Amino acid sequence: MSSSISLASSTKAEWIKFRSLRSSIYSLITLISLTVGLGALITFAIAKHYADRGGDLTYDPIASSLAGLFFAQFVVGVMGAIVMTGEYATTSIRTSLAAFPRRTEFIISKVVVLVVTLLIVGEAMVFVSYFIGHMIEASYNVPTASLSNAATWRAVSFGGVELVLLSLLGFGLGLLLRRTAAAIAVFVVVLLVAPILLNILPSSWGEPILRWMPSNLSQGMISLTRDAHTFGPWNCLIILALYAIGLVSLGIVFFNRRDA
Amino acid sequence: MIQLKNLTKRYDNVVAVNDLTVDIQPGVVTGFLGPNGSGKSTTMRMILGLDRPTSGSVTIDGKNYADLKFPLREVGALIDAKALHPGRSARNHLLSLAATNNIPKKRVDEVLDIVGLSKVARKRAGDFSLGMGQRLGIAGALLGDPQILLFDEPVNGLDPEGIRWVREFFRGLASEGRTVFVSSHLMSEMALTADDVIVIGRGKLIRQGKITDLTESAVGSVLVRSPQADALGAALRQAGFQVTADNETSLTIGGATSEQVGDVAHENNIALHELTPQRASLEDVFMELTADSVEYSGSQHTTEETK
Ligand SMILES: Nc1ncnc2c1ncn2[C@@H]1O[C@H](COP(=O)(O)OP(=O)(O)O)[C@@H](O)[C@H]1O
Ligand SMILES: [Mg+2]
Repeated sequence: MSSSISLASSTKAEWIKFRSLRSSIYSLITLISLTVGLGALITFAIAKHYADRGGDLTYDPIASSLAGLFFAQFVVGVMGAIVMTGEYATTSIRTSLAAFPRRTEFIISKVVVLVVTLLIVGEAMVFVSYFIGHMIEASYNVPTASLSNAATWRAVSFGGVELVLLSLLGFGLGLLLRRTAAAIAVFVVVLLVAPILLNILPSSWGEPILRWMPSNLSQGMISLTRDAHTFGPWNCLIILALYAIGLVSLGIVFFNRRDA
Repeated sequence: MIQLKNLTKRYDNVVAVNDLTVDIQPGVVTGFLGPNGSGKSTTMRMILGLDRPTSGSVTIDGKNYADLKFPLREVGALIDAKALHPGRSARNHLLSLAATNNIPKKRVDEVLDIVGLSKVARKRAGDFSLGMGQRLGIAGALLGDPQILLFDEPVNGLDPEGIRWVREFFRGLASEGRTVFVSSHLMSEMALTADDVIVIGRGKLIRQGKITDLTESAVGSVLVRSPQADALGAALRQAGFQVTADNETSLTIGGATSEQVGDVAHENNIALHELTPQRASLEDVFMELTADSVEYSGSQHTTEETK
């Protein structure tokens, strides 16, 4: 038994806090049903359409199986934000920090619980989505992607990682802004609104910026195809991870300075 | 021992705590008194390392709160009974707190039992009544069996039965040799609970000492009845006392003792029918002490305000 409070003791507490809230369970159920359910539905629709047209379209088997991830991004962003903003909204942050005053370790323990939970759930669900999509595609005789192909394996397995990184962006925003509505608003603007606005700009302006946007980076991580303006999947992962680490680190600096 | 040294906290344009220097002694209940907005909660938050002092320092047995090895085993605090997630059950709330400080699970059931919440331990804390919430907060403070306990306005919003329970509970804790630091904006509350008091107003220390000294130091008034009330009143005024005529035969003399009034009557050959010292109540003393520093004047102290 250790001689003082530690990252381990705080992580254990954060895990109890996470699993003892019904809202955590509901969020996970929403996440799984959106990803798997919408993935299956979209694959079904596109595969059927493709089959009806007799194959004169291009078909990206992974893009349709993992289509649910687009919606999942917002669920994990909100989940990440709420980990912090929930503490502020209920003022339980004061009770938490009175019990565990080492603030950096407190944040890291929350990050550990969020990352581990979403990595396990995320990976499980992208592979399930992949297999369901594969079955649908096979039944319509449309092109399928095999996991024995390294690129396919990477695209699918990065799906869970993508969600973890986006949840950390949400978490970082929650840590900095402290209010659920503000954190979610910024998250949606950055992920959804900003790319649309950038697309409206002349492409010589928009495109160089667009490739650095989290939405494009996360998409780049899970795509089999790649256009000239997008970074490669590994670079996308690294850049997005740097954003997440940067934002959370900045949040930790402020968190250590501010009153609880 | 909790030591505050020149403790000061300034928010944007308010000085919430102003150069406060006090030691909070072990083994007694210390009442922390002041009108609403006088800086009690801010002081409590600084003791717990939640708010950072603008200047000055707070130490617990010479250490910063953040440097305590197991904070909950050294200091237990109830700063706000609502400072928990309403969706979590009482037991899970306490289990998570216990985990942070490596406190065994069975202690959670023990404290639930102590505060009488065992039966509702698995209910959502958000559905608790104010009194139950307060008990849950106290259970959290007791988790680590700490020697030092802080309670910020623990009786706010409690019914009389709850107030009596809390009062007896605190006395019990102090009798076990613990340091109990309790804030209140009601002097009457402290009169029954505290041994020592620290009175603040607008963030500044007004008075510190034994609660008994506080009442003794208060200058009271004297009620006197006499068939020659007019003549007596004139004589007393001449002797420099404040005289208020209650009716034709009775007067209230402020700032005087019954001996002084009796002597003046004797010197002037005036018969007295009654001579009663009016002891200032603790509440009066408190009002007098903090009169200059009340932030929100008006109808306070007529009812127990919930903040
Ligand atoms: N976080 C804060 N930001 C700005 N002002 C605050 C904050 N907390 C307290 N204050 C102000 O500081 C003063 C003291 O408040 P507080 O410590 O809550 O007093 P008490 O607990 O004695 O009622 C009040 O004027 C209050 O408005
Ligand atoms: Mg207060």
